[in-house]
Amino acid sequence: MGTLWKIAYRNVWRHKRRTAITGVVLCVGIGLFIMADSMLVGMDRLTIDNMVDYTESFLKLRTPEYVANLAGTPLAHGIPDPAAAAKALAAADPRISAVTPRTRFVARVSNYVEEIPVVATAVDPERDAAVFRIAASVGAGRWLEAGATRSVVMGAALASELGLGLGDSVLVAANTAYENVNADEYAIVGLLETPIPEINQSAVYVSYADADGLLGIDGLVTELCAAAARPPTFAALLSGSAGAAAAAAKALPGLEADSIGELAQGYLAMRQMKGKFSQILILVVLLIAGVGIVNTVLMSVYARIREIGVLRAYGMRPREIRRLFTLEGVIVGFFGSAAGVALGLLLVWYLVAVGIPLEAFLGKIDMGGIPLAGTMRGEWNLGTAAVGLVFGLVVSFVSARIPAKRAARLEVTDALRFA
Amino acid sequence: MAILSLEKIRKVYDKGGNPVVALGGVDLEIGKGEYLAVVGPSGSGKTTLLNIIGCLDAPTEGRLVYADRELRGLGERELSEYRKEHVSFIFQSFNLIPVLTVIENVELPLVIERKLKPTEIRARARELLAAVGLSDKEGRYPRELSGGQEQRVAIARALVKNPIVVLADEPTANLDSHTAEEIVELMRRVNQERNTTFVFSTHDRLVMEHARRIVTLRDGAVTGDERR
Amino acid sequence: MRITMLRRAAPVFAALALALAAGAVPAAAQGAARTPAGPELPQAEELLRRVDANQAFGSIEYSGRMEIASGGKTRVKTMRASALGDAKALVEFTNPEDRGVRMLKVGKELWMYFPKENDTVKISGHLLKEGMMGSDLSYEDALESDALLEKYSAAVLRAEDLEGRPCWVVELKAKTPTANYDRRLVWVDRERYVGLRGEMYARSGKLLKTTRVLELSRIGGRWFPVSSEIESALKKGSRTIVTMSELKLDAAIPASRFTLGELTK
Repeated sequence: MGTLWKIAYRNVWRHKRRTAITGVVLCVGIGLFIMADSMLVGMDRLTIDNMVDYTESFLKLRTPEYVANLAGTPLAHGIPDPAAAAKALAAADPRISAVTPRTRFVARVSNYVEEIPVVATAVDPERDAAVFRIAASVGAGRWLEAGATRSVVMGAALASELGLGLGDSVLVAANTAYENVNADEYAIVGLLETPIPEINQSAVYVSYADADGLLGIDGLVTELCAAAARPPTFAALLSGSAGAAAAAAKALPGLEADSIGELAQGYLAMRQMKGKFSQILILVVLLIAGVGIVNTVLMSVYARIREIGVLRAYGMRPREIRRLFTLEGVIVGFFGSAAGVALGLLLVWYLVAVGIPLEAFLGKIDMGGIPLAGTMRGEWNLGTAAVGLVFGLVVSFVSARIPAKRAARLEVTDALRFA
Repeated sequence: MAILSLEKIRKVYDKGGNPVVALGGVDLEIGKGEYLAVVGPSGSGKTTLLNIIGCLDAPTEGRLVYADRELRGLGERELSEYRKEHVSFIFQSFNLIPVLTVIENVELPLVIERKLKPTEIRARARELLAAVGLSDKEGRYPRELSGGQEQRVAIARALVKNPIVVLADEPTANLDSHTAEEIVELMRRVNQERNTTFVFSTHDRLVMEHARRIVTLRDGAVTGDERR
Repeated sequence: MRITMLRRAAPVFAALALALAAGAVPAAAQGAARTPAGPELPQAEELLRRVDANQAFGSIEYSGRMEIASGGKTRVKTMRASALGDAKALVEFTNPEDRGVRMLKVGKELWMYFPKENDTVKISGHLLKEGMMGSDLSYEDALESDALLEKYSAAVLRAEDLEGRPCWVVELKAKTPTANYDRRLVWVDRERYVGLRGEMYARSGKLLKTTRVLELSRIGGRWFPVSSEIESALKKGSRTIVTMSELKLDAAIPASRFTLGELTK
């Protein structure tokens, strides 16, 4: 009914200030919601990307026995014939671009006075660089070379805590594959400055040849880590990794292929709580916007009581009156929400294109072991934008109906008498 | 034959617990094409009577018959239909919809009625606007008009759906005497040309002079019914 | 809970380990390979058998005191200990923090009893292989005794004076990579047949720790180490000193003392 629309629409713009205030609340609320969602996804992305790049990789292949004993970081339950397994893994799924073996072990590094427990990793220097960004994060010095060169690359913060620098010797002690202690001195050839504090503070990398000398592992590989091209979105990463893991599990029966979603399980569980937080945020924002719309429409009703009387006198039914005022609220809601979506997407565009350098904002704070560091970039979230728009409309509809019903209930004679 | 007949209409308001008798048993028959003024001092029940005739308000007692149909006791839906089709209102303060243009205001009753196509509605509205001499103002908004022009638009609006009865509550009270005369003449002309029944309340001598029948109310009772 | 208790238990192990280590090192040489050394050096096997005989006991009872120095701090534990041969041992702590904590070794099994919690914990499986906190011994040091026999081959390297005492330097080499140490050196007093000093080496050749007898006591015609020191070579200032007093050898101790019932009594 065109005239209803016209009346509602023109009334909305007749009280620009009132409309603007409500619209702006809705706009800012929805805009922030969209941005916050993008940021949360971005945070997830950054965190998971960091896990992929520095600690977990795109997907990991291990024996089920090793996974069952993960907490002990045992030098046992290795992958049988790791070279063949690596080849099979690389061929298992087209997404997998590189594979590298790793063997983690518990060690203690010391300067003969102070001793720090660390998680050390035996790596194939060349292949590791194709999967992880550790090699690329050497701040001072160089990455490892293949062969028993008696050298280590370690976290810069770890080295400085021991008062050691590039070229110094560090004592590394570890339980060997035979459960006894071995210790040796290694030259520090590279210091790591990664976005992940955990690595900087307590990670040591050695070549397989050196690890074999120290641990007697004789080529034991406890995990094969795979790399893939960076998928465009967080969701694509999770599903891509899950798909590749399924293919890997099929190609390599008897071994356990874990996708990044499984590897980052703990973090992802926490993320769901974060999701709840953003839901509460949007609810609060929409509640405020809802109150604004109730108020706007109520003021509109009071300002036009006689108009309501006239419309009723000319035969307009109460439900049409209710519709008229509901429509007004929805129009305000639509423009506010649309502007909010525009604002939100603008903010998201900034987050996507420029990002937030976390260290500049937060400093070097400890995120409780979550590898959230580096430049955080948002992700496009058109779905969320649509949700924001729909939510804005629903809230304005529901809110506007409250005063609109009141308008519909007015007695015609009272309305006409109203000065 | 009477188009409208009121029998022993009583209207009692409740004002803070005290019953106030607005109409105390009014009997009135209104014929088709009448031009009837209801006069009387403030508080005599003029507006209440008009509201009851227009089914904006329900009588406490009595019968209201329109074209042989008893209106009292009908639901809101039927009353809306009755108002939509047969009755129009003209108000003291014009009550045009400020956000609608002149032509859109005139169209409004037909839009509410939802019987005609938009093009037909527009044509009818234009016709009525021409009849009240405001064709050149159709795209204007009410705030751009003078009081007299506004009331002429209100009359056009009242007539656009060809009502049987036009109820006008103090239609000239907010106008200067010159403009008031124009409006009265316009209503009179419509009454004659279209045989539309007019019932209006007024204080205005001028309006009374044109009336062919004057019903006097005092304290909610008809104290005079004079035909001229 | 379990972990906390094990951490508390660590020094207790150290005490027991040292108490038993006195007899353990020589015992290791039994059945060892012949030395390739020159004619003036004794056969390693023969030498170590004599050391073993010198230190073997039917039973032992003593009051022990253990000083654990680590990270610039020194903690002291005291205990009452008794053992039947090297198969059965019972230790009860007497220092205030650990008063009443007992540990029982029977064969290759270890139990600990915590009176405050009234709880008995069996130390088994991989827990035995954990590194020990607070002292310079591993859990397995506490249990390692005749297992050494199979794991090392022995040779007398040379004659050498150690703090004025003439010694033979005996080398123990791991026959299997699962041995606790890749190589050990033991300085055996040529006249008293006591191991005065030990050095433990890792596979890398790195010295891991040294043991040193600080005091010998002549008991019933033989020399017995009553004070020893273990020092970590990987961590400066980290050492454990164990001293025995009121030492009684070969007293009659009922075997019923070394049962689980006694542990929790």
